[in-house]
Amino acid sequence: MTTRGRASDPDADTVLVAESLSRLAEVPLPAPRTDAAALLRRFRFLERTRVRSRADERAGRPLALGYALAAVLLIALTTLPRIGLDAAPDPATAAVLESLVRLLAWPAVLVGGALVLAAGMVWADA
Amino acid sequence: MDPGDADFETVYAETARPLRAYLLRLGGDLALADDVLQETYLRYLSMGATRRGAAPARPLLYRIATNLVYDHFRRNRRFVPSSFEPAAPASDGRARDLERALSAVKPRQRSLLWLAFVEGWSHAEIAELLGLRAGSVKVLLFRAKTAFARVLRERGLAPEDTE
Repeated sequence: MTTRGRASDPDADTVLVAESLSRLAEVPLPAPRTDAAALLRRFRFLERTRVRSRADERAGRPLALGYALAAVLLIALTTLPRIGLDAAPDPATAAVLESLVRLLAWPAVLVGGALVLAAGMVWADA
Repeated sequence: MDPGDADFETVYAETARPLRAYLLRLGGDLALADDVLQETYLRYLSMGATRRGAAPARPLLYRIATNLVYDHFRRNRRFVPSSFEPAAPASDGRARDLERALSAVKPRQRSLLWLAFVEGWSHAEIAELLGLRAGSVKVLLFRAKTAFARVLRERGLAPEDTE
């Protein structure tokens, strides 16, 4: 006789559930993929990676600021002869300053641009 | 070897086997159970020796593991496997039928049933693990038991059906 549709009996339910779960608990399981030693090794590896990443983060932003500061200084240094050119006391000094301005113009633009780019990249990585 | 390593190895030896069985029955998938088991112990280790030592390991590990499985279900929106595969390869026919029957009840009901009937946890312990009141556990466990018993009977898995 089937029990389908029969009213639920709490005691019978308890016995049925307990027996079924006990049967399931007895099923042998295959060996797990990992053990305590492997977990400890993996944990240490993850910790080292995390510490290194935090250190990189700490070092990254000051480095980016350093690059940006270097770019500002470079622009300032190339601007100074131009300011001096306007206030040159004699034509000889003016000629020297003018050649200096011409000499520094393109390298300053290139190096300044590279520094700004480097600052941006380092900041984005940090 | 770190002095904490021996403690961890002891905790692992005492808890890994029952925790894995619980995860298998809760998630219905051995690969998922192994992934969650590994992540559970990594999270446990990352808590640090002081925090780990402040509470008994077993409930803590079960709480982490249960939350990880529930998160997995939430992400995958998969409470009942659509095509059920035997969770444990060694299962025989009857065990496989019982696995299928257990997977037909809700995940929280599976947790409640396994913890109460197999692990023998008290209502208070289960309440703390699942973030419920002890009174609610009694009611929810009764419903879970009724639901699982109904599934077993519907599938002809009650002993009286085979007589």
